[in-house]
Amino acid sequence: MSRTDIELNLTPVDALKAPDTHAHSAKLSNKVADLPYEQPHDEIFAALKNRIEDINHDVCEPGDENSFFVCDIGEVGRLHKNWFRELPRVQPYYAVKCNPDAKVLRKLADLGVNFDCASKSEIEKVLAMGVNPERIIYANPCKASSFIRYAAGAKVLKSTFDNVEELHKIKKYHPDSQLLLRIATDDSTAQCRLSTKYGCEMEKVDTLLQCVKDLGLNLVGVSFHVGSGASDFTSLYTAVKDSRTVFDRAQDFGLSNLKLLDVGGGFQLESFHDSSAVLRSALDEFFPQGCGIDIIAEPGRYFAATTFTLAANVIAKRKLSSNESMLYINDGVYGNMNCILFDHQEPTPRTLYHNGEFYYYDFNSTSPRSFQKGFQYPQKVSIWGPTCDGLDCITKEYYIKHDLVPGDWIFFPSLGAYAASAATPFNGFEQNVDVLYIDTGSK
Amino acid sequence: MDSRTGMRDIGKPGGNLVQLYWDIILLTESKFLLPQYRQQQQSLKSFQKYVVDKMGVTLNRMVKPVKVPYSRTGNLNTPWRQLGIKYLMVYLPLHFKDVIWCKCDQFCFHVILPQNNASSALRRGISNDKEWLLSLLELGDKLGMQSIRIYIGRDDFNGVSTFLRNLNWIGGRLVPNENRAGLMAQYSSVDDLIFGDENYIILEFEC
Repeated sequence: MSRTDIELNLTPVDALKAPDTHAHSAKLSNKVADLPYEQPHDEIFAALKNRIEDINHDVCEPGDENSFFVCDIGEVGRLHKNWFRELPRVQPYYAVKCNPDAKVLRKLADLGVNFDCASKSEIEKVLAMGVNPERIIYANPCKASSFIRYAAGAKVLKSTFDNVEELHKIKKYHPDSQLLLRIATDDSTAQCRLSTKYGCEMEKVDTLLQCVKDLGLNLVGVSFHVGSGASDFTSLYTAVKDSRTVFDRAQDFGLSNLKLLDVGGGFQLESFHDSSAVLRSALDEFFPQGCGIDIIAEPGRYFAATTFTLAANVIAKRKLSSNESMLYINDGVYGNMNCILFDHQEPTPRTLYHNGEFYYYDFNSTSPRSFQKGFQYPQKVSIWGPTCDGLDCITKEYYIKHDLVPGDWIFFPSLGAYAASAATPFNGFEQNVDVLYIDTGSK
Repeated sequence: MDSRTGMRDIGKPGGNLVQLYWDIILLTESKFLLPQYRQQQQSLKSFQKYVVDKMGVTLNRMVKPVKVPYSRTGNLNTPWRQLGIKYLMVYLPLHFKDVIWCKCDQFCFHVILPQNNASSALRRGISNDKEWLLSLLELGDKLGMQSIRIYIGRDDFNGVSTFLRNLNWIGGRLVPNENRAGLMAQYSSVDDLIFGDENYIILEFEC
């Protein structure tokens, strides 16, 4: 969408002098995530800068000013290495729904990562890459019969369940399924609470085990998900402990084929070291090495978030006062930022290009607070997507150094999780997601 | 439009089933009438005439297949503007106290959740109640549809937003509303402008 596509009552912008960014610039001091390794900022910045400089505003084609991602495939490799450093016993099944970018999936497949699919189209996409269906777990917690039939046809055997009705459907349409019983967990501290909606409570486990036995189905393991962005990792410990209880109860029911524990997802790079420590300790206590149980996980954002950087163009501005305005950018919740609605994310906007200058390295160009680290931010903004829809709000309140105007660019670091999912092909309709790929794998 | 309008007694022999079918079509299509036109007698008459005429053309084409010039069927994001091939009333009393109005086109099952009590069902959805969604998915599958679009009233944003936060887990996606600004260029009839989807949040799922 070009900046002329929406009509707004624009007020001339006061020519305020932007503060000296160098005076306040603290290179790498205001990181979005505290990463266990240095991100290749030079390469990411070069990709962003080249793209923006290539746009000739006089002759640019429609779409040239669209928002775009920079995707660093090398980051996937670094994350993979870090995963096995922290959780050497846990085989990751990447949650495709988090970001189904084809190149990222390819890289993960080449690295030996398996896949957690939640829909027919995700399974289709992964199989089309030549991935063996044995490397897929079908973990949609709301499966209609047609989904189960599809999984059966595609020979995807691993699947989760949490209720009796689902077991009857599986018996009818996919009796060879290798089933994992999904138990509910305490996700009260998670940003994205899942168990309140999905998962069987511990007191109902016996009913499900009995039903599995009666129907002659193949129960191969237990699964849980503590929700995304959990702040208290004791829920991980409790969930592993509960899983052990289910394994033992299954033995009592004569179900002796259990060999898989799925510890779910919700892992974030910022807290990965801490959550992994808790998980390792719980596994060592309840499923020690050599116990014959394979451990798998369903990480999504861990692999996707820091891999992508989104750049968006300011297309309009509504000045509310000399230091307060509403900025409209050419991306929003209906485009690449549905993570705001679906994932509780609060993307961090930063100034990329203003007044003919690039500000990528000024990691303090913006702040969620008006006063931070001794600096008073002069501009208060709310940032909106292009649709003029009340849902399409990126941030209601943020503070920036620069008095941005239409034509400027902002960027959102670490915005790969649940961002591009909705803007990728769906039911055959290709939507625009412009991604510049770089590979800093050797760094 | 009041759902009591045109109630028919179909229990009697010879009860007017055809009239009932028309009522279902009109009541379903009326869900997309913009609120400012719902109370105007003149607009309601235009609406009725518009739907009846359009359906008449469709039925005539089915009975007497003739070659018709290609015409754009509208924006891919607004298939709700097309009349349905099938219309249904769905009743899920455990979740919604009102009837759910639905229609099918060739590929998509359109479900308009009752505005006045959808949000309470959505809120219950937080506490392990996914049955109504599964029921609709199963129905869409039975009808041979590829996808299902659920239209949820924006009248209770909190209920809806909570539901949205688990959407990616169940394979749903948010569909943008139509671009009203582009309507004038796309549709020649003034009657088209009395319809809109701006009162709904639209979610799409695979069936």
